[in-house]
Amino acid sequence: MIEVKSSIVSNIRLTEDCGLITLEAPQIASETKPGQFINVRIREGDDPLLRRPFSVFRCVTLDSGALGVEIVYKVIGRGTQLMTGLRRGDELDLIGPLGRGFKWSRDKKVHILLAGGMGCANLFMLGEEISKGVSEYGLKLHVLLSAETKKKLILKNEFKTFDGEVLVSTDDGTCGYHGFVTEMLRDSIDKGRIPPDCAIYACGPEPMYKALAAICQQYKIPAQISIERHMICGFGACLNCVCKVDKKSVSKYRDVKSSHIQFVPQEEFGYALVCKDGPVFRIDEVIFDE
Amino acid sequence: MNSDAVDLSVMLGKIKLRNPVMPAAGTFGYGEEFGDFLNLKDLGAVVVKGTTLEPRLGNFQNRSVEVAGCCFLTAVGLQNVGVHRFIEDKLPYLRKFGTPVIVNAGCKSIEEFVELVEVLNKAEGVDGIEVNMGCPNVEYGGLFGSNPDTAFTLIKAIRNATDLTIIAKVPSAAADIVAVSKACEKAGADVISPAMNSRGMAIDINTRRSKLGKNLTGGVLGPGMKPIAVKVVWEVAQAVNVPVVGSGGITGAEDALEFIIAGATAIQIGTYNLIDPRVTIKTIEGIRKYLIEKEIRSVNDIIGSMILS
Repeated sequence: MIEVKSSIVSNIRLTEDCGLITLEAPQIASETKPGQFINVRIREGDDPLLRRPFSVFRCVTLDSGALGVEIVYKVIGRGTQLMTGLRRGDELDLIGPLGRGFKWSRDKKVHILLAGGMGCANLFMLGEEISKGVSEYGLKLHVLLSAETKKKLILKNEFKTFDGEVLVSTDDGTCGYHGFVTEMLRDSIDKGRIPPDCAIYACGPEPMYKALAAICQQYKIPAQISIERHMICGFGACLNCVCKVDKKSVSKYRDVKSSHIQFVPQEEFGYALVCKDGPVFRIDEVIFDE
Repeated sequence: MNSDAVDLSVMLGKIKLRNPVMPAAGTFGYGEEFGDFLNLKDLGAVVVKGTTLEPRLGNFQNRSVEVAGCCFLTAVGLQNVGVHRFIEDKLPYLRKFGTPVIVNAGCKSIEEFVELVEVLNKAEGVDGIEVNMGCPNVEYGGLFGSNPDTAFTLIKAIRNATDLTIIAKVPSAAADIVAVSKACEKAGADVISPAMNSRGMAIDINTRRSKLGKNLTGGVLGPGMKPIAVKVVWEVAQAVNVPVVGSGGITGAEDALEFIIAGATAIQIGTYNLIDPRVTIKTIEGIRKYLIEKEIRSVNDIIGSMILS
């Protein structure tokens, strides 16, 4: 983890409200693993006050030969609105790479990336890694992308470069499957296009995770999900970005003592830090009731 | 004037700080979290997270949100590992730096405060206890700091239990913060630290729910609080004869110097540690530079030096 000033190489618009920023950040790019994030100070001064966390979409070699990182943003508030005005040469202050990303192994042959909207940006690096092993190790990769409507669908062409299948769903049926991405997943399993003996890696909004949890429970599929929270420091100091987790499930997957998860003897749940223990969790670790 | 000629050291009770800059409790974890960004040896003191006798889960998720006006709302609710794990797992790391360690203590009852203090008395490497008398995010917050009588009773009980330096962190939301501060001084507090603890709320107009979820409200923190905090420090510093610690929205040396000129012997930086993790170090350097430029030998020479005419 380092704090570093980083120059913007480009800021391009993907859709009406989404953009992609490429930053020169050699050290962060060389250390980032799939599912990790950076915490970005959009400009000096107090407005906006706090940093904004962004998943690293991918690490790239720039024309200059230096390494860079790319982030995808959607305009939702004042901070992201200001980002649309950033230009080549502007500097951003970054802290990263941060968090605990996705874990995968070749023990499973079929791997599913499941993206709700712009959540796909968080899954790209993992897809790149898995894609490289497809022919050599006989793996299968399915990418399930989604958007409210065709015009809001992002990064489809980038995912199409993988050695795998890309499926698309839109809520209004303007592109691909008509319905939610989790419905498309269930449909694909039921029709035998995706075997239940697979591993799922997902990033999207919480309702998507609730629907996914039901599917995973029914078909006994292991899934890892990336949790989003309002975050402040990003490195475990302020304890604001917590996620409610189940004590028993967490103990199956990690060494609780070396984690940042706070439990108390009288409760069966605890609070994990999204920035340190996550952002990636096993779906059965997370309790979705707050 | 060269930089060696400038004396930045100050005294808070029995604690000698090599400079007047500390992180504020709850924004600096247990120090270790900042190890990649700075050397803890360079700080005036380290103030660790609000600590209770037993571990605490803290509040519901959705604990923070930024609001317009250079502030944010936060509702952590004293999540912490408990004093025993602090001493076992966190304190040994801090002791390596030789920087004074101040533990922020936030308890439900006088009995719990006294028990906590007795545990800290036995732990080697704790220099001071900051008594949190008004956490905005726990159900008993403000219980002790809201009036002079309860403040006096609490500080007196803690004074009888320890020889460690006591910093009374007095809530700004008290009806009469000057009277509460004086009561703490009378009860034996070595230092008074007026703390911003206003509560705020922000509503999502689409869902008509609090942006802090089930927590509903949170403490208001950030640079927007600074003018209120400077005025409170100025008032309290004139009313008591013990050192005062200034805090509230400090973003760098200029802000820190404002508090010092208003009457603060030392300052704490909160929110800004989470935005610029090296802000404490930059602030120390900025204070040093100011003193050199103004040819002032010691930071003590400007404490409470505000000119009123």
